[in-house]
Amino acid sequence: MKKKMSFEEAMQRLEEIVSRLEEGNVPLEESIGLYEEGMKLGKLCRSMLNEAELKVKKLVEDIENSEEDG
Amino acid sequence: MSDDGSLFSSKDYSESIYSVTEITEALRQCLESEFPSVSVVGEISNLKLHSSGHVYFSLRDESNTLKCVLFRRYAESIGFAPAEGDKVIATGRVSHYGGSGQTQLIAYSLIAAGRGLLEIEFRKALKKLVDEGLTSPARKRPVPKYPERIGVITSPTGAVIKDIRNTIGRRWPLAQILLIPCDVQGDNAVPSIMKALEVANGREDIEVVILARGGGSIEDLWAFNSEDVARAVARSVHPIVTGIGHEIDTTLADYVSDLRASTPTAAAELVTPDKNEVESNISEMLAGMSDVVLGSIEGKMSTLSFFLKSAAFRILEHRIENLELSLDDRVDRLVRNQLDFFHERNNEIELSMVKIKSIVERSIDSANGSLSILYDKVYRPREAEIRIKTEIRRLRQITELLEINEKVLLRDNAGVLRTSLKELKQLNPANVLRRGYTYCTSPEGNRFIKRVSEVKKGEEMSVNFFDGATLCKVEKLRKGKR
Repeated sequence: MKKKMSFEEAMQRLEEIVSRLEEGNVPLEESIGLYEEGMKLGKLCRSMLNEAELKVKKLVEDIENSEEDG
Repeated sequence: MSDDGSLFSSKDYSESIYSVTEITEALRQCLESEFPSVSVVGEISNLKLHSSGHVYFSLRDESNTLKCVLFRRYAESIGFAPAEGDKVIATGRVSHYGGSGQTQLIAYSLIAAGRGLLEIEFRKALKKLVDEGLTSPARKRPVPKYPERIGVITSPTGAVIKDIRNTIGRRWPLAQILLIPCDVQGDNAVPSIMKALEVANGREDIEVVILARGGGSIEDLWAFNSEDVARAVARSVHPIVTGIGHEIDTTLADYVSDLRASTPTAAAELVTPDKNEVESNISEMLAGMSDVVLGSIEGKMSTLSFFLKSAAFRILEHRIENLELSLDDRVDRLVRNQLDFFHERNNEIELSMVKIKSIVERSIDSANGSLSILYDKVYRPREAEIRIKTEIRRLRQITELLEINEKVLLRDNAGVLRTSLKELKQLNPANVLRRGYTYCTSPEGNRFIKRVSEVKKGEEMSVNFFDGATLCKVEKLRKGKR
């Protein structure tokens, strides 16, 4: 994987893998590779969800007033 | 009323008696010169749409009424159908009509006041936006499935931002809210909203924007009905989800946005997936994936074990085992042979070496002995020389003898060979035939006739010579005699 994957990218790839596997004509070796990748992506997505905490940032035109709070 | 130029002030009407027509005309002139163009606000009552196309009505407030007429050519251009009770602003001249003896406003323009006015503006603007295609469903962009940066344009204080924050925090805490505060009502609302939209456009990391305002009167929401705001929404770089007012309120901004939610909270729900649903979706996908992969591995394993247990594989296995055994055997043998060969060679070479060594040593010994004799007994050098010469001669003789023996052996062998060849030649039946013998066969030549009893009288047989054959018939059988 390149830099940090976004949640959407990870989910998209996971969905791709699942539908590829469900097509059924994947050679065993490839399917195990896909399975491993899928499991990693699933874990990644789950940990992203579990660690997530809503952040609110106020964007104001003049930056001096900008503040950040959780 | 002014004091000069009008009939009342320039003329003292108390000295004369006037006809109704005269005074009516005077009233008309007086009113028209005083009120050539005046706007009057009031509610419509006694509305009559005359077959001529002219519109007759009264303007009324709490205590008074004023008769009005709107001639057809003006009535056609006001852009709305006036209704009983509408609060309107009528503009025209005040005049007096003698026929009915009434003072009235002859209007050339009629606009709805208040809410009515806003409604008209709204419809006009909406029609423009629709005509330009800005409300077309084809323009509407999808909102991202799993947004991580959500722009929220609304008032920084109040219930709306709290609701949005709570909703997103509960459903999709993965997101970050970028709050772009703005005024949502009042004179500054329109420029403030437009500025906020611009700020959002400048932020590339924003994936979707919520434009929200809580419920209120139609006047409270009016900024979102501004054509400028609507156009700014339509121009937005990011997809915009509107949540303005309540269920029943649909503003211009709602019409041009990418997705309209009925309330701010609903907008927050529309831009975010539910965390729990996404989690169970992930679990389902992983479980499905495991089923597929484990299932296919199990299937392949059972095929494999079936194959391994099958008789065909056993035979193959045995064959491979046998081949391996025979291969091992061959390799062993090969190695052994090679070793034997080397050993033999080695022995031979060693043997030769020992022989050569002993000969050389013997020669050297004898030479040494001769030399020592030579040295010891200086007076008999010749003897030593003779002995050496004798030794050499003996060696030469031995060599010659060996060579001769070899030659004799070869010659003898050749003689034996030659004799054998001669014998072999004589044994050749063709050579026997040359000496006058013949032999008999069946006429076809496939059966030798070696005895008299093998033929019968009258039978044919072939008599073979060295240079051909004759076909003969047996005339007589003479057994035992020549």
